[in-house]
Amino acid sequence: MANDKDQKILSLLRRPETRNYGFQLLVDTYKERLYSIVRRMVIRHDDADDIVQDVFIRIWENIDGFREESSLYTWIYRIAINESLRFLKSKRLRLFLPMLDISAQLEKLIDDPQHFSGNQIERKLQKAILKLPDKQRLVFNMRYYEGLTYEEISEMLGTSVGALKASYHLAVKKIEKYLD
Amino acid sequence: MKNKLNIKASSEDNLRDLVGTGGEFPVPDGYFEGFNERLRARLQVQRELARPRSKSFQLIFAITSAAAAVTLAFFLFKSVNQPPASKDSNKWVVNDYTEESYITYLVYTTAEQNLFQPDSAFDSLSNNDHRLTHERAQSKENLDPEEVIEYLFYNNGNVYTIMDWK
Repeated sequence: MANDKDQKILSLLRRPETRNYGFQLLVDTYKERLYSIVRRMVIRHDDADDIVQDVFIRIWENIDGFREESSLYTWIYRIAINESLRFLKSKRLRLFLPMLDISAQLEKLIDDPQHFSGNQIERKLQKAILKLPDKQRLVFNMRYYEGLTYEEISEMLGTSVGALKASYHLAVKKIEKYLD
Repeated sequence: MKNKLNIKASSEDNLRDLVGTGGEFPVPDGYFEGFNERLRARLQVQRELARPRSKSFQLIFAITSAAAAVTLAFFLFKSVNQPPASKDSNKWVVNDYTEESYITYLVYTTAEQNLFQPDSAFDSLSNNDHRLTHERAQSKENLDPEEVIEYLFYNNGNVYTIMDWK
């Protein structure tokens, strides 16, 4: 799907004279998708904005080291995922908070229309998702909202498809229990 | 096994049917339109930070650092070689180990009649002072070796040094 476009982006990035244009094309192609996945993880717009910008800066700085062992799309997503997880971890460490307290803080944001707009059941679903551990939440969001296949997620996270299916199933069960 | 997979699929579908994928995380107006510009500005800042500094800046920095290090070393050396201050704050402590300081001290602290009889200036010294005084050092008599060693220890071998004067 994105492979042809990714190849075009990569070939533009490889040539010094088209490097800037290639990067602009990459940003235009991925900014909304990356923002969506990061925002679902960190909830706050400002945090998501910082992380997405950091992701693109890292891509710009490391594009020469990209060996095409995976697709560009997978590589970019992997950076975004790592940055999001690192942000949550550092936030937890900085505030000396256990996971549940961070989740509780993020849940409060869901009630604020500035951070989330949806009906009551959608709000409740978001709160249920926030109760999941970070990685399980990530897998759930990627599968449920982004519609990624287990194979794609497996490549991005370096986790087996079987483990991902089990993780996703467990997440759905927890959410259903919370919604009951 | 097959049943288990069916249950999984069913569970996922249930959730989709029940809740759907609705709900939005609002994005400020024009956020994505202005994203590239903001990113470009940040990349510019990154480049500025990563840019190696000019040679003249490096030279000035090196000279300033060296000067600071020498000054610091001087004060550290001075404070290490300084004798411990008197515990009694009322005591007059001469920190400058020069003969001039000693003379200045005498001028300001010795009674006028004593200035014409320099030796009498030492009369005011406590006899209990265990340190070797100038007078006793000059007498060459009855010098206790321990006193000499102690004197040298406190005065770095300078015969005219005065460090703690009552």
